[in-house]
Amino acid sequence: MEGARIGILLGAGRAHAALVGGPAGGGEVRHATGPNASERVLARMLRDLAGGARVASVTWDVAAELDPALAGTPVAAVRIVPRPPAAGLGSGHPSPLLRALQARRGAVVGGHDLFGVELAPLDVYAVLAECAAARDIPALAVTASGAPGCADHELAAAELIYDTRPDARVSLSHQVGGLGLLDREAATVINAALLARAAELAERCVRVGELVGPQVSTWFAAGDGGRVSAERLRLLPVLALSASEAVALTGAARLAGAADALVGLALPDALAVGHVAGGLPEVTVDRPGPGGVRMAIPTASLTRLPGPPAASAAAFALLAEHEPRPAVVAAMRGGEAAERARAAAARLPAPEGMVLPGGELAAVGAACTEPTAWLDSVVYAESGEELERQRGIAEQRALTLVAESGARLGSERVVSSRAVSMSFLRSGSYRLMVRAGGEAGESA
Amino acid sequence: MSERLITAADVPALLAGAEFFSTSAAGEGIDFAGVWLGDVLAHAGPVRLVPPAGLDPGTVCAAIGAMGSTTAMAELPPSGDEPAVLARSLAGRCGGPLGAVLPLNAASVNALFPVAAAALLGLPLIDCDGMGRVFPLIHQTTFELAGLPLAPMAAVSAGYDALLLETGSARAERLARVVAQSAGGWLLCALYPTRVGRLAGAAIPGSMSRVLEVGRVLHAHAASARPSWNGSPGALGPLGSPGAPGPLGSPGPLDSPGSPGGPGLRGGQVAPHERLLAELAAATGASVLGGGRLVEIGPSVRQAAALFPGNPVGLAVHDHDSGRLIRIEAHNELILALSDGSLAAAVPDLLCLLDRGTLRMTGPGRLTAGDQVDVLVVPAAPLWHTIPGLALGGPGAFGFPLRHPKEAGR
Repeated sequence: MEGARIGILLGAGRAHAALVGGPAGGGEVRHATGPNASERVLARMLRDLAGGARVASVTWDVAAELDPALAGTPVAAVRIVPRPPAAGLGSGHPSPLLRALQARRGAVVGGHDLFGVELAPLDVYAVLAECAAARDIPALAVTASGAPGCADHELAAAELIYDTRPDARVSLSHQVGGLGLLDREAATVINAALLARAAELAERCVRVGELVGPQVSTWFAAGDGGRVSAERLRLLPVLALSASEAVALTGAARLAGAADALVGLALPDALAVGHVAGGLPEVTVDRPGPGGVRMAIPTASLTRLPGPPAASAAAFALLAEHEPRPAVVAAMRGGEAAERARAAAARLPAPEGMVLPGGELAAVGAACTEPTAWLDSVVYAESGEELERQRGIAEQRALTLVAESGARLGSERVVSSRAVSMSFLRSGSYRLMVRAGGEAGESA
Repeated sequence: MSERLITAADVPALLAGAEFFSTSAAGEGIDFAGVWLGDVLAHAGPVRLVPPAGLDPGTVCAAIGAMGSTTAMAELPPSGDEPAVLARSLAGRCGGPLGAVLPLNAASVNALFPVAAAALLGLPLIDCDGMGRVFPLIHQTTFELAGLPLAPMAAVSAGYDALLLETGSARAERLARVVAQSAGGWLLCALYPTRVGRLAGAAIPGSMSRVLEVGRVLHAHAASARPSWNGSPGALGPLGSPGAPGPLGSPGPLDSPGSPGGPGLRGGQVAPHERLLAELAAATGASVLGGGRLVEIGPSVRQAAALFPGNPVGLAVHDHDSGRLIRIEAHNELILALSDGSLAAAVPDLLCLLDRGTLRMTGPGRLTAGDQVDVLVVPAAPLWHTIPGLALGGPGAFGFPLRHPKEAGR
């Protein structure tokens, strides 16, 4: 549906909204702020912001509302590996957050290798025993080795759990994250811990959207700078973590009128630097998330340039000097952050690189989000032709996921597609990482 | 060199140093090993790191090292039983029980797994290794150059498949590689069983201490560049973590009045990557070949040598200061660098890539065209620059008909 887009950031008892593409159309951006109060209060704030214009979508940045340290519930972690850790050795995690969320850790025999070859049959009796032992724990996180290549053991374990615990909330690692069992398990535990909170949030936000107007679609900003549906947020709340940073980057680029940019987000103590390409932030899967936990999930790639404003400005200027994309600096707040932004902008060749948002950048970025998808898999290809064929299949899968996420038919595109040779495996082993995006078909 | 303890608190530095000496490709995605080792050390207690001279020369020891894919290891981490299986396998085959272990190569995961093995077996870790870097084949070692036998070699998979090989070095490599492929992608091995007294002249001394020293430098810099997530509500709250002034604020070794027009100098400030490069050079004797934008990355036109796992990869970096094009050939690790067509550096010397953005060592798996990197060359241990050393670990061993710069002068 055509119309204006609204982005809204919730946190610290406040709601910050931005409307993009309002009655005046084009690049108009308006801001509103109010209490993070009842659904009716929020809906009224958004209707007032729209000022009578038709609203096509509301996209929520709920990252702060999904803080697992505050909103997480106890989780039983079930790991499926060919040989369970000896006396639990090596299965602990250094993060206090993860240790606090894991009410129980168990391991059962099973699992596959990277290519989906079964390494040990699933011990179904051990799964049932884990299920019984975790009967008082509301959520379970199931992580099997090799699940990105073959999820059979996770799916079989989930069936057994649901048979005995139909009320349990279960997260399966192959739906949550990419390669790397420990990182994926951490993401799955955090995801399971957030399922109940995500369901409440999704329901609330959808109701607000309905109050704003008929046919207003509700979305949630994701950590990769894209958006997910309410249904997907209920299943995979972990995708919405770190969204604020990603959409602040895209919001800054949008306000500067650049689809591609080197972006510096000025904070009181540092300049946080990232890249935007094609309206999406560049992402990485190895950046620490909540509680310093790495999660094998794509999030915006950001680097801090700390130190006095002049120092971070000099370092940013050096990056910008060798950057073909325009450089943009956005002040996140007044005071020290604004001073840092001005210092950085003063060293840029183009004065228009300075952005003063007048509201929350993350809300602007959230309003502008589009559907995205990310695939991370391992394939074996004996020839270049076979590799291209397999890459083509992965790209089609990613495009299908984008379409399923609400992209307008024909707007789907491959954002990036990499086939990385895998070290120390037989020749012909590649890791495929595909990112795809699309357009929701709303005005902005 | 004196004895010291390795504790869980050393793991971040160990991990960063392990990345550095992995010559890029083999160091990617090894953070899982740090998480695993930290938990092992927390349970089993610290490990004694001792120089060879600190042990009885008659002590039986063996090198510990993983072979295979680090991605496979991350997907199928060790259970913790593996070192005991290896020790049992070798017992009775080498004149007595193991009294100490040492790293096969103090780099990538093999700087961490031997520490875990020492902790789990309750043995000291000897401060030396057989590569000083990563080589793709398990017999590309200084032990081999000194004539130490690789076998008997014990190996075990994370699925608990165990084997004991009694064969020659090259055969052991080939046989074990096939088993690793079928056993989940990697094996933990105990090999080159010997007596501590035979390590003199056969091992590279001080390897683990060097990894820790370099790791501390890298860890301190990378921590300042990493946004921390604190979960605080509000826009960009996660990025606004309080922090001490970073490394930019004060003059550094490159920021001297004598070089006002030097690369990266901006109004008296030293760019973060330049300060780090200077510290790495001081710690390792490294030199910087160049730095700038990665303009090309992809499969190499070179045919893969059948002996090696993995696939050849080519990279090209545009050196901002000189305008030269630095071409890098990689095959698991970075093998050689050509500067405007001339051989500038090659194995066995280490080629490492520093990501200017994250201030972390990087490699082909993480990089995309457009990223900004610096290319470092670290001289290999002197044992590798001998004629036999260059034959085993020089460009020719990787199928390149080129003479190492050290050979060119002979």
